[in-house]
Amino acid sequence: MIGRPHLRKFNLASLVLTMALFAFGGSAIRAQMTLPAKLRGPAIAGPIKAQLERGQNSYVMNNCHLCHGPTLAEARGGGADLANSLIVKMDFGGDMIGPVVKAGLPFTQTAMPQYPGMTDSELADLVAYIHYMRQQLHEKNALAIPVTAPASVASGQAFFFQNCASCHNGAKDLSKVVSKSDNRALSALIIRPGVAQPSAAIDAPGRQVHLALLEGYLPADVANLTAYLRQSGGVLSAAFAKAMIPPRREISARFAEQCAMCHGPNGSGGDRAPGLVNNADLKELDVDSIKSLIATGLPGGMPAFHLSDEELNDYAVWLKARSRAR
Amino acid sequence: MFNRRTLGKAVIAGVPLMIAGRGIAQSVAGDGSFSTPPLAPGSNAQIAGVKMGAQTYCFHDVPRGGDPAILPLLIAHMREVGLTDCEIMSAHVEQTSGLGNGWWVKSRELPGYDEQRTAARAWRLKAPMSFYQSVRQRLADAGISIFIYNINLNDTFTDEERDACFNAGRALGAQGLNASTTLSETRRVVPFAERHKMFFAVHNHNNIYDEDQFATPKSFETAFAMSPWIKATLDIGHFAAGDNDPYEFLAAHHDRIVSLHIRDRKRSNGPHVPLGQGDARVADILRLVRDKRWQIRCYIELEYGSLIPPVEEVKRALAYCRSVLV
Repeated sequence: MIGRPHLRKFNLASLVLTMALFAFGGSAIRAQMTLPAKLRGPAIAGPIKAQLERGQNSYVMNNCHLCHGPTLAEARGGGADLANSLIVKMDFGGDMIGPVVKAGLPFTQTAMPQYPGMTDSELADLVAYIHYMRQQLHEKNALAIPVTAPASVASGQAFFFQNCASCHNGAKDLSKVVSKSDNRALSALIIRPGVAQPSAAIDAPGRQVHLALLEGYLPADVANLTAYLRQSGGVLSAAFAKAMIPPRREISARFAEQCAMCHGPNGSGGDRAPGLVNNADLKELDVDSIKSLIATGLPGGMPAFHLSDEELNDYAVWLKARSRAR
Repeated sequence: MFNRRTLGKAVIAGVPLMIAGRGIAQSVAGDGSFSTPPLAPGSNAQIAGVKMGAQTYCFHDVPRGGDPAILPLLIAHMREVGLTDCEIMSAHVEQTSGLGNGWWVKSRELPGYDEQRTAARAWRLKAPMSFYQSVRQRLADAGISIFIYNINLNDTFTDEERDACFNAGRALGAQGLNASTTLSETRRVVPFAERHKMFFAVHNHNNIYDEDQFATPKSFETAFAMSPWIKATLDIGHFAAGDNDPYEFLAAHHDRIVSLHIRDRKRSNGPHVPLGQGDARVADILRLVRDKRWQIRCYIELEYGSLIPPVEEVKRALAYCRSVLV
């Protein structure tokens, strides 16, 4: 094959003609030059459509779709299930997703690549798309839960006071909404209220809070909230709300939710971050330094955690104790 | 350079290519009937004496898990890109679910994994050889041969399953199996490879921190020492991403390498990129295989993001290979 000039001539002639035929070959071929929807992901709508489409392109061009699935629901190839990932759930504006994307995850089974060249703008688009897809998926799943599903009023109350009562109290209570809605309508409003509808203003108060809640609902949460609001009638005075705020949860439970996905169960170590039990570095730090580290994160690694001083203190004291564990 | 004879050949060559896309789409849809599409002009089966082929994973739009569209699409794509030799992935052969392999450790945490893994084991153990032979025959009828059966053996496989996989590979007409696997699993596979007298080629990724993974020269050399039936499918892109030099490794171990995965990536766990844009020394490696006349199969494996159909990207990859070889 090597050094046979007549073959080279034929190849060149074929190439030139084939390119010419492609150029004038009609719409059938050009129409196929778009990635199929099952690989690219669904069509996008809403007021930030342009940004989301840029994010979708970025998701595909940076090859996220092959491991995490084009809709986030079909994770394959070892990628994390972004539809249920705690990192994505806790992310705000890329503060959790960004460091992972830029630094990669070299310790995972087949090492997620790093994307250090991704600009802040590209990252913002990508993060917006991931959250959008997650919201679509969670909305669909939550709406599919029958309104007759078993529910716990007490669990709904606990959820409400942890996530809703700081806004929905006093004059902003939900009594009118509850009285006008049957359980199906009430569930739909909990899942995606007016401020979180695609048509609502981007800067509508509460929009981001509700979209974040939408991404995090577990199947039972909506049913429990519906049952609680139905029983309470949605009448929630400020004094009542304050009185009902439950005690702070055990620090170990919060650690399991916020930290264990990287640092392992009870800080025993994971494939993304070191163990914290008997950790030599932690032993060197005082409580204030640990608080600062949690609050600011580490460049290219651990993200910053926006917690109250009280929560930071809880974590720092708990971690300090574990760093001395034997 | 361009006479009436070459012009005629080029026109004849170009017209079928122009209409091929429409024909393929029609053959897969509808009643499932399928006729073999024409092989693309200027076959890429060998380029300058280098045996080219594809890992069927390249064609991301091909469904998995026993879908009747798999073989028609694979055949159509292989013919369209002008390839006649492949490494076929098990998901394009087995009639089992995506979770039925267990290779991805993360997949073992997903709901339904245990049931699907058990069902896949049962399927493998009872699938008749005539099933695999029919797959082989359908491909052979289209002029396509299977050199390697790719099934990612791992610690969830029983010995009966390992044995069945070698039987399946033989029935498919493959000369051996390859796998994304581990050193510990390779030790378990050695007696089966020796008994079946079929090679078991280990494939690398780039997790250089887990000593059980294939990612470094040492990991390959450890496996080679286990048995002469242990070979390598060197993934040059992943190898470069693990900060190794695939050219040097190929030069040193060409007698144990049965196939290369031709892909490109940036070093230091960098992203996947089109051929020639990364650090895998793709051109140097292809020329080395050409100049030494090694019979190592060079299989395109695409994993970079793209907004055009995979089959078009494979064509681009092959065009790149041709450009550096001819």
